[in-house]
Amino acid sequence: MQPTDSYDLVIAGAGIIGASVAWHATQRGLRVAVIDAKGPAAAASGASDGAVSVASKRPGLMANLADASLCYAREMAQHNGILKGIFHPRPTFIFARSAPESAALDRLTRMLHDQSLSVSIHQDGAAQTSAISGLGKDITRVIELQGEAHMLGYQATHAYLSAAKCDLFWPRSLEAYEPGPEGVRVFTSAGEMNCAQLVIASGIGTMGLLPNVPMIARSGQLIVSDRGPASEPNLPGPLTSAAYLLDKTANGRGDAGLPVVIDPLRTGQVLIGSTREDHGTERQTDIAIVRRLLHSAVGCLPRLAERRIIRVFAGVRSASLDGLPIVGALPEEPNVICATGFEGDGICLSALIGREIAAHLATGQSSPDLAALTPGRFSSQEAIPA
Amino acid sequence: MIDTRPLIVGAGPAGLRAAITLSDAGLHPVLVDHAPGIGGAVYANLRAQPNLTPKLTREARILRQDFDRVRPRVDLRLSTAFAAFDQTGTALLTGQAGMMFKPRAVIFATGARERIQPRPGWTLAGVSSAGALQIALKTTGTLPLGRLLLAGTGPLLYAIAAQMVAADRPPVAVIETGNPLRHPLMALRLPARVLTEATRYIGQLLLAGVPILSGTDLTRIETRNGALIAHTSRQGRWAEISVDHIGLHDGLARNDFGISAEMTGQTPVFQAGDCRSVLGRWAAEEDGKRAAEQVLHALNATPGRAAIAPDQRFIKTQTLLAKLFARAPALAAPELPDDTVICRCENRSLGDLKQALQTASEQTQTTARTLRLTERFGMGPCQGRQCLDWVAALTPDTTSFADLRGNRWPIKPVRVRDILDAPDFTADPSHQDLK
Amino acid sequence: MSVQTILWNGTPIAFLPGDTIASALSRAGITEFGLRQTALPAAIFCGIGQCQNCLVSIEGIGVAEACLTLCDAEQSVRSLSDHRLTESAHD
Ligand SMILES: Cc1cc2nc3c(=O)[nH]c(=O)nc-3n(C[C@H](O)[C@H](O)[C@H](O)COP(=O)(O)OP(=O)(O)OC[C@H]3O[C@@H](n4cnc5c(N)ncnc54)[C@H](O)[C@@H]3O)c2cc1C
Ligand code: FES
Repeated sequence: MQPTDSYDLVIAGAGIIGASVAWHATQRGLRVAVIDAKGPAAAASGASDGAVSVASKRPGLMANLADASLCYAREMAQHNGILKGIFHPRPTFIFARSAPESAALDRLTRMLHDQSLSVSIHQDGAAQTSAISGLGKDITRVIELQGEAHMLGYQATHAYLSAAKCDLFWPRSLEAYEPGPEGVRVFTSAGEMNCAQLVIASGIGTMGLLPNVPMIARSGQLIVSDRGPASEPNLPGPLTSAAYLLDKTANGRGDAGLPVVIDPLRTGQVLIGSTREDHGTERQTDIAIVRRLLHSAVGCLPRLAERRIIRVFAGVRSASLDGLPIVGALPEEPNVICATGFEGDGICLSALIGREIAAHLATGQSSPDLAALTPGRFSSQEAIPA
Repeated sequence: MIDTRPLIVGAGPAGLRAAITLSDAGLHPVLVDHAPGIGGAVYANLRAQPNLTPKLTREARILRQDFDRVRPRVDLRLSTAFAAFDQTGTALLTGQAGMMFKPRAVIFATGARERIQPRPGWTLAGVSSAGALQIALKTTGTLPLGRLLLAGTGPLLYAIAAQMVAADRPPVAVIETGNPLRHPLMALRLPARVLTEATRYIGQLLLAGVPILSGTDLTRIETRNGALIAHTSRQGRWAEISVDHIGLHDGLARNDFGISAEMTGQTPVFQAGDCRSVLGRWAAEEDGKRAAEQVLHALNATPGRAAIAPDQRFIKTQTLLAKLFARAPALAAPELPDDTVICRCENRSLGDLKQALQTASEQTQTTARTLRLTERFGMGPCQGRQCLDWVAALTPDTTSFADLRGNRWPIKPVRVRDILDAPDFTADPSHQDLK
Repeated sequence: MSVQTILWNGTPIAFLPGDTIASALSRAGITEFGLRQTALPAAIFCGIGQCQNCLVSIEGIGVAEACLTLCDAEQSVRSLSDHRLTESAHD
């Protein structure tokens, strides 16, 4: 296809969300262009650890959406699906070191039961009974979940963009747009483009573009180890502290402990994360915090003390004020669709969001499941759904 | 106690001279090196082999004497790596004498790294940098068993070859890509002491009958019957040399990976010696003194002394040397096959890189991020010190080298246990709950 | 003075004062220290702690650069060839 300056759809942002929308939209026959200020997976999608997790979601809508996305991604990983070899099913191990953490595990058990999600509890008991050997004595209880998965953000982004028959442009940033009766005029750093519809999936960059959509930058630090000896059993899945669930879902974790996650990569390397800090300074990592995370990680899995750390990095997540993603047409601007505010859940939700936005673009019908995510909720006086 | 002593990273000529200068001004610097001894690449443990390199030994002795004089005021931490320095001003040292503290100023004197052009077979055991053979010679007086061959380009090759001759283990040959001996008149413009040293080295090689094959490329290495076979090419003429060890060297570059201006925060940070500019050992020593003076100036410990500009003499010398050794651009050799390993840590080949670059179109560049994340260049434990020069050379110039490098810490891999064991002298209450 | 040794994969290897593990091994004619996780050989390459090509497992220390670590009498040093050989890294 020859690049032109007129498209059915222009997507601003080549992160995992923009890439998923692009692929799904081209599947429906739309003529699509993707632009990015830097390049594919240049921000949060490239910095994330890739957990596709339902357990870490807030009970209710978010857990349901995450589960729906997980089920759909499972389908796309089968046969010759687009996510084959990229989406890897694996168990998740969530542990408690304290009474508040154990209470969080009880709440998780209830949520999985009440919402009849596709993720289930395989085992719940003392550390010694878990499938992971060599756990530290800090850990008093472990729940093994079945049904969750791992998917690296930049690999999924790459897969979607390579398969989508669309035009890609970078570095090219969206600077402004002008909706009109004919469609949307898009002003970029490399000139003007025209499209029927515009999707803004610019992550934290959306902040500058849509000042009426309130967002927060929330930075996280991650630690990457070496591959470790082959004699050492690879963790079958991530070891997640219940404090991490509390950190993500409740009103803070109180004295539950550091929200550490020890996430195995397929190479034998482990990712140790991650913090949630309310600032947007990309790359800012600090020694004291990293040391506390490592200390906590070694308390959970003592053999990590022998690993070597090869890299520490930070990424910035774009969060919304009410903790829900911001997805849907802008109020008064039906041809401009926003998809941002995914904070720590974008990898998990990307499959579903891509499919639903593409369906909305192609048919004009928006999914009732996503109604609560509408950007309109910030401009209306209605109560914000929790 | 909050520890705020100035930190010097690297105990080569630049770092040692910086330590001497700071101590003479009444400060008590912390001097850290991950090697087990002082001296850096050039003066490493020279006392062990006084006869090998009389001139170097003499220079090393003077530096050592000056250092011994201030030794009681320097907190020397050997076998200890500098791991990180963050925007809060905290430095992390790990290893034998690790600690966390908040230095008032930092001088990086981490020296040079050898640039070694990828060639088929450069990952075989027995193929190392030429510098690694030299280090073995200097620190232990011995070289690995068997026939030795040196190949690549640059003045250091001749120094090493001459030292091998002095140790009675002359190399089978020196294979030189450039043609330095073709420009005797240009060479005469070199400063006297450089010229004298060079002449002595070449003289030693000629006396010992070591062939210098200039204008020759080492194109490929393979193993045959337990030996390494070096395939050479000179103006289309091919030859084979059978040896046991090959030392490669294609020049020096600054070893400044992971040292970025971003990491400075409020603390004054300076670079000195080869880590600032590869100008050789004499310049490095002077530069260490200069950096120390800059620190003193920044800390207001000396009255109004401005930073001294890098010494033009040394720059001129290096420019001239570069001309003498001028050669075709790296990796231009069309005969380099696609399966040549570029990234040794992640085993990524020239073909992988070319393919990644091909997927770019007129509208999209292959970004540094993609080369790192998807293609894995620069992501292994050497953190790109060996591959990124070549990745950058093959990548359109819009991909900036700085982005490729990423500048993340730790600046070398460090053990989790060592990070946790480092005592904390930052006295920052926010992390006292660690232990 | 009796010769001091390290134990390389169980075999005694003599070392001299000032020897690093790398220099002791290469004097004994051992150039290949095992396999890296990429299946390329582990061996001395840079000689100064930059390339991570010479990693070995040292008793009492853990995984470390053979070229930076001084020999200690009776110390057991093992190759890392048992390291996993999997697909290339992803993080
Ligand atoms: C292999 C090699 C051989 C050379 N041989 C010669 C020669 O024969 N003759 C000659 O004139 N010039 C030689 N040079 C050039 C000469 O070494 C330099 O010009 C000079 O040594 C530069 O001094 P420096 O202090 O800047 O660096 P160096 O002398 O290299 O010292 C830097 C020090 O920093 C340490 N270091 C690095 N990273 C860390 C870390 N993270 N934590 C702690 N410590 C760290 C290193 O171990 C080293 O000791 C050689 C260079 C190399 C690389
Ligand atoms: S040989 Fe390069 S790190 Fe040891």
